[in-house]
Amino acid sequence: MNVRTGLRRLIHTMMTATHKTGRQRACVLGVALLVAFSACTHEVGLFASLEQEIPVDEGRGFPNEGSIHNLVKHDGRYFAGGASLWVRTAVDESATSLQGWTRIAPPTSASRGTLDSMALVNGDIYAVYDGNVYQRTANADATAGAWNPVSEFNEDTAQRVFAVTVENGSLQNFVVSASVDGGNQLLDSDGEPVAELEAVNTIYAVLNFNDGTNDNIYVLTNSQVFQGDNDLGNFTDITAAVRGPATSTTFRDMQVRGSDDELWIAGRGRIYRFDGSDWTRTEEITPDDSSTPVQFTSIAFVTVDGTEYVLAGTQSNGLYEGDDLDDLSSLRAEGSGRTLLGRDGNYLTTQMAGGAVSRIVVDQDGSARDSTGPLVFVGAPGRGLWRGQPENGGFIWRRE
Amino acid sequence: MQHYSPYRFTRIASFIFLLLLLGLVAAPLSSQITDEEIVVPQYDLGDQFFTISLGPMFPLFFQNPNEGFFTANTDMNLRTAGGTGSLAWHGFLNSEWSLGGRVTGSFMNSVNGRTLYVVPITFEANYLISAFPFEFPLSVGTGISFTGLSGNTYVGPVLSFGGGAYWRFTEDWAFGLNTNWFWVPQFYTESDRTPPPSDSRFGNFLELSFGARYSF
Repeated sequence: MNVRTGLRRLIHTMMTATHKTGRQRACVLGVALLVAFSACTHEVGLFASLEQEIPVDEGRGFPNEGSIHNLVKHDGRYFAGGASLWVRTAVDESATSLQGWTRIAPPTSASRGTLDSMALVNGDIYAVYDGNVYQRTANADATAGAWNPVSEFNEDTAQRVFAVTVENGSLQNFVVSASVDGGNQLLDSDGEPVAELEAVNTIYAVLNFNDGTNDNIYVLTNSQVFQGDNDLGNFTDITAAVRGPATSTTFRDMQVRGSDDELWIAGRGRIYRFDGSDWTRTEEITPDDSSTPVQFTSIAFVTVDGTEYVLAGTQSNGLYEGDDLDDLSSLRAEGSGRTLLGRDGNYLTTQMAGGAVSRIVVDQDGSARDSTGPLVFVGAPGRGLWRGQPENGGFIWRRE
Repeated sequence: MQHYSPYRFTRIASFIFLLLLLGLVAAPLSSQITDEEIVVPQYDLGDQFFTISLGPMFPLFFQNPNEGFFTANTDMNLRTAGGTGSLAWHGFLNSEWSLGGRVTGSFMNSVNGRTLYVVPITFEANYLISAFPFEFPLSVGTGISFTGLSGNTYVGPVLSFGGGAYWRFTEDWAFGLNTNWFWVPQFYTESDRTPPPSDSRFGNFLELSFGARYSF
């Protein structure tokens, strides 16, 4: 039997088998559909999400593959720190005349022009380039010549700069973390090491917090929390009190809620809260599709229509939203029932959904596209700088 | 009253006679050319062909079953056209009907640069209308479609209806154009793990492609 004859018989068999196996074919198709439906774990229908999609790229000039590690507002301008420092006018005159970003040139003396850290200090921008600290007035001047080296930090070891008020004899307004043998050290604005913090893990946050009795300075490393006096003295390790029964965690961000109302910390699988007397924490949070705890990376608070929300960014699971700050269990992942991250806006159709978040910054008195109100800026590594705002009854996200 | 001329009748009769004579002479000659130089291919049971197609894919509209089957939303937020390619095999049952399968891969970009992938795998019945050297296949297909967007995947049914026009370049090869309409339903039911039923949509997409067909 040659090949051609064999094919003829095969096709003939297919023809005669069509009627005999029709029921089985229907069953197979039904099973396939059941498997298909049970495999759908996304929050929004694929075609429905396309219908909801709105153009998100505003074309303001910020690179779509960029991200930010900090964003500050001063004198009607936003300064965004990513791989470079960017500036734009904060107020949009109209939705059709959006304010664009301008890249600020790095200091000419920096051999590597990548911005590692920045902070707003009394109307000045302090920035770390190539291990050294530079200062410039926070204005629209984008030239390299506006940078001034800060002589106390010129040893190529600086890593981050933090705006914090220190009453160390004379008033100081910033501190710097620098690399040292064995880890990081914290330096005051004179470049002097802070006792008890001369060899710690990577420092992620330094801030002032008044617990109702004392003005303290809190320092967050990736594994510890320190509390010290506002003169940078008497630092003690309070990690055990923060994390409770857990034996370890990985911290990434620390923020003050309101006017010294509470201190919040983002950790691995948990958010920690200090009300001035006690620490409380969430239950361990895991994504729906994994047993690995969520790594929270950033925290911010925003009030929309009279309701205060907490937003928590993650390393690879998008944003979480909580609408009852007294009840930490209200913190939930993006999806149905969320106001800022739900189905009524366009969050789920953006590239932020389910992705990495490096920083969240809120401008409660913002202005964009002809409307005033709260603006939420989110840095998504490799996917640009995003801005969310109330609009048409929803919360709309666009990429700067 | 018209004047009758016997000479005029004779001229007309002579002209008709000459035409008939020319026809009698030319008829065998014409048959001889057809028999020797033009071979009209005929398909038969067991004949097969492969088709490869490439071209643009056009998003047409979404239907929302919650708002009525015949509503059509053309505001799909997809770019005007994407791309598509397919591979198909068919086997003839007789000179007109063939059965086979087709794997189609297509993509379309949204206004925000998200890429929608639609990959139908269909079982097809094909009816061929021949008018040598042209052939006009009509097809209807059904199967499953893998739809992907933003890292999410949906697997569901698909229906396709298509037609084409091919020119037989040689006995083995034919080239032409295809058009296929894909109807891709996405059903959602009440479940905590899936989007709500209100997100059910039926996608409609149109392929317009250049095809090359190899018969054997």
